Amino acid sequence: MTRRYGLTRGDRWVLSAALLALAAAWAALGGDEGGMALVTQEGRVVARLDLERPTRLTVDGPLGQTVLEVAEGRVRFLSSPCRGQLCVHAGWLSQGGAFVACLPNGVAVRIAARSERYDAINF
Amino acid sequence: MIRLLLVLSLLGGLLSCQSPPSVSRHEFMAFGTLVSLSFYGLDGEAASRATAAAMEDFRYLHSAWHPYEPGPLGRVNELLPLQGWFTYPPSLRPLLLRARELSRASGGLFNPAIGELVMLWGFHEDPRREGPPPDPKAVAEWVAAAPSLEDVELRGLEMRSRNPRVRLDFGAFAKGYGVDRVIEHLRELGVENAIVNAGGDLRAIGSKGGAPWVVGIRDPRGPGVLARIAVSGDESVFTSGDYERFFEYEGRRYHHILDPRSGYPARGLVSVTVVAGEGALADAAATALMVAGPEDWPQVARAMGVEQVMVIEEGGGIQLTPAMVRRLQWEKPVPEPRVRPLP
Repeated sequence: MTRRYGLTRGDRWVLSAALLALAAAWAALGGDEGGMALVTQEGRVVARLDLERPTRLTVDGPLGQTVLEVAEGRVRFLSSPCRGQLCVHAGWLSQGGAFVACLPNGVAVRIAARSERYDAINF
Repeated sequence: MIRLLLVLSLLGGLLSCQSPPSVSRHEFMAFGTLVSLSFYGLDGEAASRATAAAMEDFRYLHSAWHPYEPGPLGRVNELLPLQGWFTYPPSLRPLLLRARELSRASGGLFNPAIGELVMLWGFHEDPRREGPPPDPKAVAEWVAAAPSLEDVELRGLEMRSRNPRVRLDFGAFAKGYGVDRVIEHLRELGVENAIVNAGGDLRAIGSKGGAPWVVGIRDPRGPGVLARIAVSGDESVFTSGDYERFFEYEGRRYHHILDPRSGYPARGLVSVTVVAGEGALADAAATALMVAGPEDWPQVARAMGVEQVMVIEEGGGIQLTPAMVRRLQWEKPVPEPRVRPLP
């Protein structure tokens, strides 16, 4: 059995398996930034958007179609049929726990990070 | 090898310490807004039961306190202008009494007798019907009539108004009062660690297994979060802002927080955030301080008994009470805040 740094072959096998597991765990846990946006319509989850995959999503509500856009790890309300347009003006969301809702059309978006930065958002 | 396995298992233990705590979140629409509940350490069944109870409470309170729809408060509002004695629903009594105390403490800046003015501006409808701001003459007449809760007499379960312009609208503190009632109910159900967040205004009780709940205060004018605040024990965080409801007409912006002294939207401040124990107090104070404006708000805060306040001026300046300075952690660069000790 060859010995380097006092490690047996079995040691090296355990170590590399553990390192692989660690890397996988790290990737799964993610950082502080959010990795996924949870989209709800009238309180029901209608989509989970991976923020790393640029896309657009159209959600139907009582007033019409709300369009969400994902780009560069962020999400925003691109357009909305509501009058106030507060959701569109809220701009991009990226941090875990960040939340914007368009009440008139019943559409809400929340960044669901593995470790959320905030337990609640006050506004 | 055994030594190595031991080290690795310790590492594994450390990693598992970082796993997310058992916080569950539940959302539903009620009270004309999105309500979000967070529970710590509650199993699925208990969390569902608590959520169902909260949902039922909020829906009941919404219909009971809606000033402009048929229902207990709607009926009271039909009878008040007649100026005779009538029997009002007993469930309204604690709400009326607390509203009167808070209105007095605020020097009338929080005025729940403002319903007719709200209707003149069209803010009683959601969404507001498009159109110009009200006729200045009509607004001036309302201001001259000066309806307030002082015009409302209570005699046991009977009431009457001495002023025909009184129309009750508890919108400026109903959310806070409702959140308080729901927290009370959750406690009765054995819930000890929770946040009840009604459209951005919240009360948090307990903690996350000893760690405080972390609340982000959204930047009223830009994207993202302006500051964070750690809350535990039992605290409410309420913000009133000019961005919540507004309309634009001929290039001018009119928001929904009306100054009962002028009859027009309050000026000078973008938002007011109040941290206090009771939700109803935090809610009413946030409105009253918005109305008081950038110079006078500390006197009103003192009179109402709130010590932790952040106000954001129209120009972007930030003012804080000394007690609030100690609570906030900025999440983005901000101009040097002006610290305003309470008188």
